[in-house]
Amino acid sequence: MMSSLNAKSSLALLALCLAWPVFSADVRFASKELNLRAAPKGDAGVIATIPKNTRFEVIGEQASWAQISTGKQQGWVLFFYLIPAPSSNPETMNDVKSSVGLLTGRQGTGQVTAVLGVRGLDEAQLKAAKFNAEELKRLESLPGSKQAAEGFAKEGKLAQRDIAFLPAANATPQQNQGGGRQ
Amino acid sequence: MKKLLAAMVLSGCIGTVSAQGFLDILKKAIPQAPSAPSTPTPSQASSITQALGGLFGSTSKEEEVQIGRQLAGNLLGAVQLVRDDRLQAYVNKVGRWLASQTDRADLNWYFGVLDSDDINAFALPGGYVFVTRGLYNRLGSEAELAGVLGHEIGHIIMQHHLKVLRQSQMVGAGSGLLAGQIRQGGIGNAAAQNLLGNGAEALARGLDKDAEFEADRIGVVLATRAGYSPYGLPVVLQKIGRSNATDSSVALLFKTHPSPQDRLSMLGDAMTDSFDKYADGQILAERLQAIAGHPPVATTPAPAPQSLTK
Repeated sequence: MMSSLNAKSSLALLALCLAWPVFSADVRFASKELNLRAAPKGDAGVIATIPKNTRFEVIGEQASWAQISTGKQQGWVLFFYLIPAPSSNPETMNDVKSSVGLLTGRQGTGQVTAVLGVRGLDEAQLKAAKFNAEELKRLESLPGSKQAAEGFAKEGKLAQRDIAFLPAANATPQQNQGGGRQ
Repeated sequence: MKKLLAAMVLSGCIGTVSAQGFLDILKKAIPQAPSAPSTPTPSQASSITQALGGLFGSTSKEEEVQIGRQLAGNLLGAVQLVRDDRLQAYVNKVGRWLASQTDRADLNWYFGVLDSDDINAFALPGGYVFVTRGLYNRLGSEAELAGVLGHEIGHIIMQHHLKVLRQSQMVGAGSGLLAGQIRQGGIGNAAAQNLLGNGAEALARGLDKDAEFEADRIGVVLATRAGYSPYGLPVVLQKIGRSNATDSSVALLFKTHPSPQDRLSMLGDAMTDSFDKYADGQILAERLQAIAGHPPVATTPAPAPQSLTK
């Protein structure tokens, strides 16, 4: 799911202007204190504790885990807590988000920032909106029976799995101690 | 109030379109319903009246659907569906497969891709789910699409909007009053409109982050139940977290929704590593791209290598 970014040449000059090479590596920060583990498993040994806002590079991935390097140490942390930059520093965030890479599914295009939020639905368009029966009818007559969905699932080798809904964790995002294994 | 109202009704997970614009849609929705061109339901006027009446007591399935239909029809008056049958059919297959993992198989589920550059997805009561072309084009895999649709399905099966309506001040003291106003004065009368507006404001305040967090957890579970990788929705949240915070449409998103970072963090706290055993779920980047390879609009960026592909 994660991989490093290899953006190049034309961006190199720009990268030099920044405090750190956002275009040459997938740089992330810890959104809270994290346990750095020796392996991508919750019961793997804890190598170190990574303080909140620590900067590191993502060098690998596996299931819920990101393999990171702080420069001094390498190990695995849960990927949910990797953020582009400390939230208290929006300008830095703007830089980092340009690096694309991790989890984007658009690796290397460098387009994410440029294309995100081009513009919203036009407000005048919305104000003028009137109930559109034809369009609703179009929506409601789109093909896709339950049987079709099942065939489609089979084609995609989508095997149903019996999983209970997830309860909310007791911890809130602000609570760095969070239960659970990190 | 206007923004709050829009946030309440649309319950967008990914972003939010122009809130004021949606308020206008909604304001028009109710009074215009009786005179709107009739869709397959000829007795729309009375149905809508009943639906609104139902808002202030219990809400039957018919009422729930009628409210959703009305709002969907108005939304579609502002932004049309993408004219790409293949794309729409695809999204409906994914969505209906996901919906079949819920206990609301009794609903007729509809999924539509809206012809908008905005990055957004939202749900309306009764089984109406929309994703914008802008968001769709940012998705890298079917697992990501499943995560987004799963989140919206979560809002619907939990009846987040309807619950908030029932809990509003209006439903408390004024419930009978509004229902009565509608019955006596007709659906568009000013007094009923006023009450509805005020009530909506109260409702909007009641829509808290927990509904979004809950829908996130449901989205992950539904995608996983359906056989997908559990990580599609987290991936999309990561993408949104990387969006330009200075962009106006994203600013609005952050105003009306928990930050992507908080959402990821809450998901992480709930999931920990317990979904590792489902990490072998399907990602199906190719299947999504095969559809996206026929972009409905020329603005679509060229397909790129997928990092979610393993």
